[in-house]
Amino acid sequence: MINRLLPALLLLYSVSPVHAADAPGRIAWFGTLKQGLAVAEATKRPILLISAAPHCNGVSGIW
Amino acid sequence: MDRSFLSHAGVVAASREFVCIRPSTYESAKEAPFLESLFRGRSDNLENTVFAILAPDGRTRLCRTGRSPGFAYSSPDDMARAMQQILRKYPGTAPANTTLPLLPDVRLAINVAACDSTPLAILYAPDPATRPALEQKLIGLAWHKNLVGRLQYCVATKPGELKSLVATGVRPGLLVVQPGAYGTGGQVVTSRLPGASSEDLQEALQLGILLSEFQQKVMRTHVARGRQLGINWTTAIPVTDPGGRRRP
Repeated sequence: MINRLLPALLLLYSVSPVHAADAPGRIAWFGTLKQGLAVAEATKRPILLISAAPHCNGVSGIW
Repeated sequence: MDRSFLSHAGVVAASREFVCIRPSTYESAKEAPFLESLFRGRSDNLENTVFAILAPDGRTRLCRTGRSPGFAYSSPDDMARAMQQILRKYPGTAPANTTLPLLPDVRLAINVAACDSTPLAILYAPDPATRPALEQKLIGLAWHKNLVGRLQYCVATKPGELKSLVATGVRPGLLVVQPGAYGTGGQVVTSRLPGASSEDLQEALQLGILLSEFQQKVMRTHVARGRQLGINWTTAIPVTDPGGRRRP
């Protein structure tokens, strides 16, 4: 299926503003304290933590 | 969030050996006291962001906690060096990449994906028996070098959780979603059934990344347009940041 879609995908890729595929390396986050703390305890790995509100003055979609 | 630190190549590289946790502030009454214990702002309340590096016990602080990495480190390079030093003391006894990093629910996950400008992968399993095998395959993919950090993940078990998605004939399995700009809904760009192979699931995730496009967001215009559109995100608990209270 990919082969059939490839020309269209390449066209889309060339004209669109920002693609997720262009993003540089990113940190992979656990989204809850419960899961993340459990993994840290089990693996004895240190924790990088930042909490953030996924809205600005009630408008969502932006940190 | 302070992207200059968290997008720095050295910080991202070191983060692969850490357990990285990003709770959404004001979205859990259970998480708020922990975050408050790490940092309270001048108002003596929980503010929009909290930053910390902690030992594996989740209690011992390994840096000055604050509102952002800038409270602890003079530069992203400084932070990356400090993370490497911490790893020498806490090298870990097992890899952290054996668990699927999940957001707590679909509503919040769509919003977080919109904030990050990433697609969202939903493991939709109305039948609990179908979840383990699919989740196991996704774990390997979520930490794959070509995919790590490029998607958000969550689980849905009821059709009602998917009501904000634009899709036809949603079936259980993997749903890859492009979130809308305001994270209040999204479009399913591709999907796979629960029995899909790892290779097929990987193709779906990569297709989602390739198909997803996002407008560059500028805070001022995003918020102004959001207000015009009537966007009004409801938090789970009251916002106590003096600069970030919701409109009445």
